[in-house]
Amino acid sequence: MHPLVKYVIQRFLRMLLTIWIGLTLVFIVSRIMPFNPADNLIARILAYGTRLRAEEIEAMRKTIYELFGIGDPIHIQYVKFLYRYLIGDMGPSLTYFPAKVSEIIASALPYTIFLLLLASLASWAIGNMTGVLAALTKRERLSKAVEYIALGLQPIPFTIFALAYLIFYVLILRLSIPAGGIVRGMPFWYVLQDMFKRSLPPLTAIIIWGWMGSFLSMKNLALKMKYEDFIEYAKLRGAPRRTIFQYVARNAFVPQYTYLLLSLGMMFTGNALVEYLFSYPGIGILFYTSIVNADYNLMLGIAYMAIVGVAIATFILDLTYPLIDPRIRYPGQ
Amino acid sequence: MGFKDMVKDKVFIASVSIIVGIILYTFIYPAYFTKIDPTKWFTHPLRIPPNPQYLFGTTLTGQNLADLVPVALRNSLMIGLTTAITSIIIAILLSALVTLLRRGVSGVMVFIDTMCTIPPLPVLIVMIFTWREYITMPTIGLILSIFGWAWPSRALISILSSLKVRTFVYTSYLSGLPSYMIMIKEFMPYLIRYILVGFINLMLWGIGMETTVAMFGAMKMEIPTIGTTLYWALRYQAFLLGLWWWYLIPVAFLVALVLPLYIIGMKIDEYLITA
Repeated sequence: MHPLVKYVIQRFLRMLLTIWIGLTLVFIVSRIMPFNPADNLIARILAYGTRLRAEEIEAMRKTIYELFGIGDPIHIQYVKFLYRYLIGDMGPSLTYFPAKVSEIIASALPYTIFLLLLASLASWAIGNMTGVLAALTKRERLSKAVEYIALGLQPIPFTIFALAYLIFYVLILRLSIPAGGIVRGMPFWYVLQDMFKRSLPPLTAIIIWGWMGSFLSMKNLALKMKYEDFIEYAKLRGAPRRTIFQYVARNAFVPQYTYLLLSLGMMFTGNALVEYLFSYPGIGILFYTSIVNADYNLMLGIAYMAIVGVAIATFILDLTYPLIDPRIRYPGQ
Repeated sequence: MGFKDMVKDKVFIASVSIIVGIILYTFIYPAYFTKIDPTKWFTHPLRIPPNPQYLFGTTLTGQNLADLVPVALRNSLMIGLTTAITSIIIAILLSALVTLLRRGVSGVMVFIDTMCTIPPLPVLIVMIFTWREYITMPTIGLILSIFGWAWPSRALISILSSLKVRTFVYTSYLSGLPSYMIMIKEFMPYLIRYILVGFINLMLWGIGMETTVAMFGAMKMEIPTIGTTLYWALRYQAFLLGLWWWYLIPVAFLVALVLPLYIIGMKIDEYLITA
């Protein structure tokens, strides 16, 4: 088998493993809730003021219990849960009753994956470029200053920065935040254009903050790399600065890319937060709606779909990994 | 840099004193000087800017910020501490186990990588939201460490596996040094550095995560933390109404807590790398 095919299969299996572990986590979380979400749902439906006869309520209770899969032994519940979530049947949403959770999330998920991929790649690229430049530049004071700024800002939680950026964006720059829901029934390019337009405020928020992590680690890597033998040799043979820059960047990219792949899950946190703060129609804002309405079905569905979304995004980036790391293209050579 | 140099370092002294000051403020002040329970709403006049009577002003929910902020900071600090302690203990035990057993490293690594890829926020929000009636601050820290252990474990396992094959470790092993002594004498000096830095990073991560979860409104909202304070400021449109003290003062205190912590971590790192 070609090593690349093997690699892709391996990564695909890794994605399935991530989804499975995520599903198991969601299952555990849904079963250790201190109350029964099915009873909660029944109480809420009754509280809407519907007049039902006793036998109707009993029938409804039975249906809802079946829907939530309660009443079976735990391992059967687990298998049923896995099956239902994998085929995308996560029950109805309480907020948008009777719309299905899977439909609501499916329309928001592309927006989230788009923002997540764009933001993480852009901030990663900017951070790495500036990192290499800062390590190789002759203007050491400037690079030190940038490093100190990054070091000083990095420990501050992203939440604080996102709020500050929101205030700055709206109250000081007086810019407007694009509003409106998810675009439906339009050609693909139009949707993509709309996604990009909508994503600008949250995207800039993530990029302004996100480059610092990769900048700092890249600078450290590149500084170490600067004294490697092959760089010394390139210098001695009189290679131009551009070539040296390329050598250092190319070699330091590999571990940085691995880091990017692993950190997508962490980046999702900031992603969801700016989606909610800048009303970008992704999963973040949906999450907020589900919390405000105590919509457990939607919440669990989002937790699951967020894991799936990040797993897919990681898989997409995994597919580009052989371009970065030639050792995967030509193993053992 | 020697230990004395580190202790005499001006930045280090300043950071430590800021942290000690904040800890005193968060633990002593609420215990002796607060007369009205700061968690109760509408106990003070509304939206008063900072003045001699109300040093940090009051909120639109009628809380005195000078009383509220220390309690909120203490709760956030508690969450960060519990997260850091539990996660780092899990990471140390797991990495030591994997290294000592000398097998299952790749399997555990795959599992850790998967845990790193899973986005923590949604699962944490669901857990904290559904349990919010029963939750206490240390419990939130425990819940956060479900995800907190993965990154430090990854770092520790890779450090341990590379240390294990170093020549000086082999030398000690072949000279007959017992394994616990190898653990203490050869491994610890390297590990201590990562453990301390990892501890502080985990604490910062825990505090940041709590703030994010609270911003979504998924916390026990009546318990003041930095996150819930900001959430209520956002809900009551403090930004548009110009109540700058409501959000700026808690944020300033959070930054004043987080930055020195980070600086201390860096200074300890510098000291240990040379020692």
